[in-house]
Amino acid sequence: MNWFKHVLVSAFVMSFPLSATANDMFFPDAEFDDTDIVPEVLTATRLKQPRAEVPGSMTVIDAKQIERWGVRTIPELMRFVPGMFVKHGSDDAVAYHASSPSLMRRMQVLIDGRSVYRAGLASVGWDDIPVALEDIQRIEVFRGPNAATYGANAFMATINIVTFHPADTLGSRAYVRKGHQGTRDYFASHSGQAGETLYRLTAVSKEDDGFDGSEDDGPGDTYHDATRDRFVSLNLTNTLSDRTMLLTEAAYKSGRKQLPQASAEPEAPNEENDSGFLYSRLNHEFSVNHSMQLQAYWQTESRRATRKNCGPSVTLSSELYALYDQDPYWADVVGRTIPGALMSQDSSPEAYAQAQALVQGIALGAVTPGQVEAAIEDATERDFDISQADLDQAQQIFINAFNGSDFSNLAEVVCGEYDVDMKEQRVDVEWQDTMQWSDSLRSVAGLSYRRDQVESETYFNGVVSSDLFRIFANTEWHITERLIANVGGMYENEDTNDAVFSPRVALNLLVKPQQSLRLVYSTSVRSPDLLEKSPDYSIEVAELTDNYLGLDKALYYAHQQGRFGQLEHEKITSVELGYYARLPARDIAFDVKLYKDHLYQLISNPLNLQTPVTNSDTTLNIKGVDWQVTWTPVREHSFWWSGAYVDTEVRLGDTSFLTPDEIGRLQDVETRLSAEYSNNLSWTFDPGSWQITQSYFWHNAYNRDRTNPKHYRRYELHWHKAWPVKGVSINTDVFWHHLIDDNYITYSNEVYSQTDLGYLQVGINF
Amino acid sequence: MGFKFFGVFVVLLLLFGQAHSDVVILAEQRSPVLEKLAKNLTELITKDVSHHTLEYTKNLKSTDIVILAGDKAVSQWRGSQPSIAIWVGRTVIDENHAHLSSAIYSEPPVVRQLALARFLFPDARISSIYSNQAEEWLVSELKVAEGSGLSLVLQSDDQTLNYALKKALSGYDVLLGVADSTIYNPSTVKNILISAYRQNIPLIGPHRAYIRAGAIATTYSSLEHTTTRLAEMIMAERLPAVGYNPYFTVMFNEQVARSLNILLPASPEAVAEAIRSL
Repeated sequence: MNWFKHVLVSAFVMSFPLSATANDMFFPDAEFDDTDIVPEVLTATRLKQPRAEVPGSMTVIDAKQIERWGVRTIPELMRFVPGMFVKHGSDDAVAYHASSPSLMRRMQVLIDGRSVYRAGLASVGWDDIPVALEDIQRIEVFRGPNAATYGANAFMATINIVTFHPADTLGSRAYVRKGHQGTRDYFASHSGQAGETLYRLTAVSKEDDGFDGSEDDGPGDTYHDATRDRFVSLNLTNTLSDRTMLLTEAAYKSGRKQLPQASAEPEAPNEENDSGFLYSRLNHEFSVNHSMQLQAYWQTESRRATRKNCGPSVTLSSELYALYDQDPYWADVVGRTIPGALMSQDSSPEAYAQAQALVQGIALGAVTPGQVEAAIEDATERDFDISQADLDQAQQIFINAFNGSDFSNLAEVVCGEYDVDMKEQRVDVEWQDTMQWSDSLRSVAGLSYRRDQVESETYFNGVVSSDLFRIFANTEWHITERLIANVGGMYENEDTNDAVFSPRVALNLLVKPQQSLRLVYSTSVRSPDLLEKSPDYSIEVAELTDNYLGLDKALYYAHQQGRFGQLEHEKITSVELGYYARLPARDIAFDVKLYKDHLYQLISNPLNLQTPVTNSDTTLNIKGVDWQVTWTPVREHSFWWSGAYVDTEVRLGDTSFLTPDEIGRLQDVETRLSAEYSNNLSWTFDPGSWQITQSYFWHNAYNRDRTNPKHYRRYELHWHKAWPVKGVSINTDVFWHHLIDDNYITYSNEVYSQTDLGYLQVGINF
Repeated sequence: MGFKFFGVFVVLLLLFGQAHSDVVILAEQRSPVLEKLAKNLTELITKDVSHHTLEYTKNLKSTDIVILAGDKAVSQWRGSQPSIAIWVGRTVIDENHAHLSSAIYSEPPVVRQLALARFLFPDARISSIYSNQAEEWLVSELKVAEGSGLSLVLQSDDQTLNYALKKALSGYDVLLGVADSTIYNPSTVKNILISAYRQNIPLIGPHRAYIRAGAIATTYSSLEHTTTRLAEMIMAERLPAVGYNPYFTVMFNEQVARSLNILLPASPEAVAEAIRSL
């Protein structure tokens, strides 16, 4: 970079006193190189670009804004981003426009260049990210597919979190926060300088009780979803020379998470987790026009949970396990539907009698496949094709359960426990090179290698891994002074998936220096994760209670080996037309995006053992408008307004094996979290010595409920005041949120019993 | 044309006169810029202007007016002729003031830089860092500026620049650079600029050299401004006192502005005009 050059020039200039006024006459001009300037210049393409020249839609949330809103978690910040939908509380689900709320798997999340998107079970666990909101300098949300820059899984959006340089947080900070829902947060951080090294050490403990709901929507907080997370993080920034910088980050986190209790579980399970990472990045400037970046990181994550469960003993029979391989739906009937009916003698005598007759008929060989098919199709509403071989296998299972007088063993309940432990590791090395070829042409290109490894007896029967190689490039070309083209793409080769190439082409027309019209065509993919691609998913239940099979431990009949179904990459193609403008005179900036997204080969089914067959065959068409406006009419007042109109159309693939109820749920799952219209308005009043921010969220027609529109309205208030006392600043914060509509967003147990919630915070900076 | 002929005529007339006074520009080395200054100045005043190195000192006539350009010329000057120092830091001028008749300070005045910052960023909270090594004149100018709203951050001796920067950048919108070489020097400039720009805070000044380094704007006096002021001083009945050049313009770094998403006024001269009229 030219820093070196101009620093040399400056050194010469300043040692020569004439320079102060005359240097420009004595020395040739060294032009300033803006790639060292970070601010509003964005990383959409890995090239720092002024807002108006970015090939896509961006929302930038900086530290000042985070401080204004006063929320506790990253998902709560995402609520202010146009088109982003967030479940209540600190849950994991954040979706852009539309997506399944159960896993956050269609967005890439990066922390200082490190991906926290999990490989084993494609998802992002917000609670597991060891970064304090107070350490975040800014969050850049790229709204749209961005695989051209960040690769697979930068699918619908990319959230890029950049933490503060330790020089910007020099000193010490600490606070205590207490509030409703068992909120107890502690934060302490110290930044300092030792020689040429600047460092920051942050320790955080964060916990809350989650929602108030319960499994049966009863009163009190019986919904088992409390979390407690503790971490320490370290940032070391070394300036090795004028041209070389080394950043090292590391963190260790330990957490405890309550897992919601399933109906057959005698007690609610808990998960213990540990995670850590080590990250290093070297930036070097060869010259004014040429720089490179080399980064490498290792991260590991371990989750441990033991679940207790009770169910019909027959589900542990080895014959049923074998039957599941041949026909999982028929195995479900034999192992769950029939035993379930046999247990319901009192509640549903008719079903009981039918099941009795069916069992006896099959055991004695007295019924035909046609009769059985008719009976079970009637009971389950699912289409079956029952053969004599199917009946023979069921007959064997039933005869084994015969106790000499009846088949009551089929209704016998056994309890046991199993673990769902998982350990994930990732190593990633990436090199990128940035080159300014001429005044109008620059490019960034790079290579990376990543290895993901997951160890789990339950999900993979051991260790599985995947290796990923990537090559990427992006070129920015100022065709004319006002027309800019960005062309880029990434080629990825993963051993567990097909190779893919994701291109992007964008044109920005600068109407004025800070106003532009953009037309973007982009594509992206989400790679099926290791569980989707190579499951060896079976549950070994141990510590069994007495059972007619005489087992101490056994495999649960439902399992997945090889693959869940025909799973391809999920794909998206997106066309967007956008307009960005900043009018400095009024300090107003706005961005409008009109888009049409076509998502196909989506895997909409949840991956679990209740879903024997999963296909990547859902199609989702989304079109609509996103808008965002920021306005500071006078210093004391600032406004943030964002919103979206989302129009979705879901087309399911093969549903021939599904029941009407399952089809209905599948139809809804991709849009459960989406509102047709959403508006988020925030107003900050900052007279200088204190600050108050009020936000209002208004979301219409949630959860696909367009015929009977369900609203979600929420009001937030954050008041902040700092009291300077002899070089120390005492900070006080009050945060309050009021649910105007207390509708749940996605699932009925995700509710608060009170409509007013808040916290108090006291802290110190010195 | 007429003026030129008149000038030539006057020069010729003076050449033949007995007690005529010439203007001599002395510097350690001859430079094209000073040649140009000499040439331009000749056109503005009714005196002969020549440019020489310091060796010429012994050839000076007692009636000559001497312009001392640069540190060395000023610090070695012991002559009795009327002298004006230019292109020298204020500190050197102050050290040698006993031997100088007058001088034009090369640093832009703090209040002028503050006015520029105010003009470009009307609502901004502006801060400035200085050290214990700062010259007395600078500290007193800073104190005056403090009276009109500039926030001062003193870098204490036991702390590194990063701590002072942290203080000066948090809660402020613009950093005003000043002529304190402990704070602003070739080895610190990169750190200052990167730290400020990370927080979207532009640096004004401290002087022209920093524009190329990455400061967003500064006021400065060009060669023409220096010429104009010198002509004005020389033609005055008696040499005006040491002071700042009242003639100046404004310089921007458009690339920095673009990167910081700041839209600068189209005409730097109009900005200078507006500041002058304040």
